[in-house]
Amino acid sequence: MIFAQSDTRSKTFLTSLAHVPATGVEYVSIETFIEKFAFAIEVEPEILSAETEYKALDVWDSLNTLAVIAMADADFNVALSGQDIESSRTIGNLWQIVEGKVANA
Amino acid sequence: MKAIPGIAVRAVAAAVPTHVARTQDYEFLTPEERLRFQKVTGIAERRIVGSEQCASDLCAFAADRVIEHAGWERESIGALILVTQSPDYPIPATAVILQDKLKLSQTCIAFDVNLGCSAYPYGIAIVASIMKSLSIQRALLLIGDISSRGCAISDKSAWPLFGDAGSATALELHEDAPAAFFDLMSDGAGKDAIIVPSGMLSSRRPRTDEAVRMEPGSDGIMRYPDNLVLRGADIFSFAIAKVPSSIQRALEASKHKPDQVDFLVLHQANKMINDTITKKAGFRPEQAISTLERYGNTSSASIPVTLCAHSDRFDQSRQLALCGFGVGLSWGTCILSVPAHAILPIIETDDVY
Repeated sequence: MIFAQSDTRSKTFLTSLAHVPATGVEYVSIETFIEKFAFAIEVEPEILSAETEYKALDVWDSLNTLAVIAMADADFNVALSGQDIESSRTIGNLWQIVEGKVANA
Repeated sequence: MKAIPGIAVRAVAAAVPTHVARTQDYEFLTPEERLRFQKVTGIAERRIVGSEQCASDLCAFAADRVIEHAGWERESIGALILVTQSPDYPIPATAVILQDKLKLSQTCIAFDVNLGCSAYPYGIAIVASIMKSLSIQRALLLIGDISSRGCAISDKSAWPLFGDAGSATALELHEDAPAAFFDLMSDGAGKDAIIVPSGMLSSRRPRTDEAVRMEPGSDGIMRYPDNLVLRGADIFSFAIAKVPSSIQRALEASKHKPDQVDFLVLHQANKMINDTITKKAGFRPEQAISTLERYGNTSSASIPVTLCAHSDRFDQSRQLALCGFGVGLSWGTCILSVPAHAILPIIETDDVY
């Protein structure tokens, strides 16, 4: 039933992409990252944790890769590559990549 | 300052075949996947050529239309530049063949340029530069691709995105014409993001005597070695990181703010990419005209196709920000003025020129 809720959600998601990039992000907590990740792929955050192997989720597909890259850009001003998604297994892995890029920005 | 003054746009035309391929009919996605694909990419249908028609045919019909609209004698055209990645033959250059077919003079310069999604801003810069430096009064910029012929039909990461189209832009030296402003960029480190790895012109991986067969890519999709491979996530990441700043640099050069531009015309990649770029570059959604829904990603021709599909909005002169980005990686922006009534409606034809 991912489509039932997706219309309003993706609209909100796209309008949340700010005109001004999210500069000045200094630290990303895993809780914040999970919340944004869940919003991007249109699931409830409660079903996700740092250990979730996100590419094994029923709702995961290649279009969600784009949604997660867009989320990292809009919310954390971080450019995730396709390789970053390929090389990470859990949400915690991906959070570490984002956190590393935020720290080095 | 990256500005070229004194080049007037006389006419822009685009041609597409009549056959419609609908996302909802694509057999390699489940019905649920088709809905989701259409929602994220914005692509409902595309035009696909038959087995006889080439990109050059579509470009040639568009060229006839702009020559007629501009009221030009064919002998007066001094340059024909074709930007395509689907030429008639590997050799010779298709632009030279078109010089003859379009009955242009032998004094006409003609050559091909191998660029894709960034074709329009690059093409305008190339043609305008040659016109200025060699004092060529009138020139044709032809741009088109038939991406359908290079993609495996089973490749759900590429096939349902692309539509076929050709276009023609007629440019003329005119000292009162407003300057065009450019920001043109390249990054070959991203060459694998969109690539045809093999084929007759591939020196890195030339054809061998072995039978050509499909093989699985790193994404598990079966392709022939001369099929297009598209890594959507890498393109997306590149596009949203690099393209908005290109638009902003070109606007700064032209001393325009986003709200002083009538239309932002992006390469039609997909809805999620284009919506993100539009917002990051500071434009309102209604400024970004689109043809994704009806024509899909028409590759190099996407900007002229989008202009022509909205020809009814060009009954007055318009200030445009035109931005192409993709294969190469190559990207760029052109800030361009077009006079009233220069953008012509889409031509539909299945004919071979």
